[in-house]
Amino acid sequence: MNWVRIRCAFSALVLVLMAVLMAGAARGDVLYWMIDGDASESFQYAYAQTLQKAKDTVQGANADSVVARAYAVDKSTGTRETYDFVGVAAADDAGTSFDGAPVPVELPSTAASGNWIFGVEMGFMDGDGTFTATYCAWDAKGLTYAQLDAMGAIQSNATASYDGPINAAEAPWSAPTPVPEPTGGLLVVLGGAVLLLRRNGHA
Amino acid sequence: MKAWGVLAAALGAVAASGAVADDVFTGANVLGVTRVESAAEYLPLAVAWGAVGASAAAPAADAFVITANLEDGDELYVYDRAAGRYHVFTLVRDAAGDTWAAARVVHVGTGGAEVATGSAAAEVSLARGYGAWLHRSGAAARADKAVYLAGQAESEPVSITFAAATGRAKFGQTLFGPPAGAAGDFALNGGAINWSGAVKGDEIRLPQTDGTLQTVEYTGTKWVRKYWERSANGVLRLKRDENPVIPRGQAAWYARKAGNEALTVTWSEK
Repeated sequence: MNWVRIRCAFSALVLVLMAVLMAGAARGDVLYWMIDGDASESFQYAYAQTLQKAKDTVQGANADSVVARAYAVDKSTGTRETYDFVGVAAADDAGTSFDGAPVPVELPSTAASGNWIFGVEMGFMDGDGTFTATYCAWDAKGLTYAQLDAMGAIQSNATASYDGPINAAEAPWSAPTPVPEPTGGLLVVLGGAVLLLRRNGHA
Repeated sequence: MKAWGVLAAALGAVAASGAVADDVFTGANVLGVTRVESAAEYLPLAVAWGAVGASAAAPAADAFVITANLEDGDELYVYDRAAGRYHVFTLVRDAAGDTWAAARVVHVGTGGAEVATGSAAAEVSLARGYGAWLHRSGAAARADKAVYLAGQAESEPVSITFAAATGRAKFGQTLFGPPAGAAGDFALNGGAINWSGAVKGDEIRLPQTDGTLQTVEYTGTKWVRKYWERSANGVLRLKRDENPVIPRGQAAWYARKAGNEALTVTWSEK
């Protein structure tokens, strides 16, 4: 019996490895985002607050301390992917206009599944490179793959272009929010696990 | 004699003559070769030269890139502007030589969905000043081999039309490539093109080896490439290049800003 279990486990391992190798070989969709041009009022506020908090917290902090990065969250599992930190360069002292360029982000291979949401978070970095998130764009709901695709921000293959990057400078920004609550499949799994524990407890 | 035969014979004659740089060759056909250095799997190539033997004629799809150092199975993506789709050809190498065999036709923007069987490569014409994609699947071969474009030098300037935006939030997308004539990379602000009619926000997107796109933006007076450079602490910082270029022999996307009509420009260099 044990060798059957071992063989099954080995088969599963091979399948997982094959999936990983195939995922590595394939080029995923690329999302383009940026912080550029005239900023929305909520972005201006978030930027000013972040800069002030950086100055209050980190000795010698300045505008270079303010950074942003894109993230992706799988709502069904809670898996969170984060991408490169990007300097938020103000084009004026008031922080009403920003200078930027499209930042390419290679999306997870399952990005189109509908479980993922995407967003941008802003914060500041201390001298040790530790990041403190302060605000996020599009709040915890984020944007779905379908929304990003409809906006033309996704390059779907190497011989295609895209319409335009999503511009986080124009987005609504809100106070930091935790990773969205897992939904769907994970809740079923968690619910099942709780039920099992309770049942065992009663046995 | 096939076009390649003419070109090979001519290049062979030049080599055999031991010609030096000061020599001047005159005649009905002035031929040229462009070496393109890139290890990209998907490489956008400029249709840099004309068809051999017929001045101002568009080269056929099977006669603008030299196949000798490509691999069996490599693919050529040629855009059919009128139909809005790509003709895809596969390089077949056998005893008879190299042939671009029609493989399939794919629509743009639909994830590469196959819709029909393609035409023979020789029946599909390219247009100078535009671009086509070469797909080389062998990583090891790509790392060591350049790609060679060849054809006839033309005596007339080339006009190219960048497509208008197709919707409120849509950019017009045109794959274009500098025609041959000037040595070296093509300087976008070098004066070879009069960019009047370009608008602030128009973009030129340069495909990179990793498949992503590097953006060059029109400011209203000139082209500026903004790019990201990783600082010591790993943060990407914005940099500017006021003299952006399109690498020699390569093509790029012209993204016409939404809300603007098509734009036609003329390359003053031949």
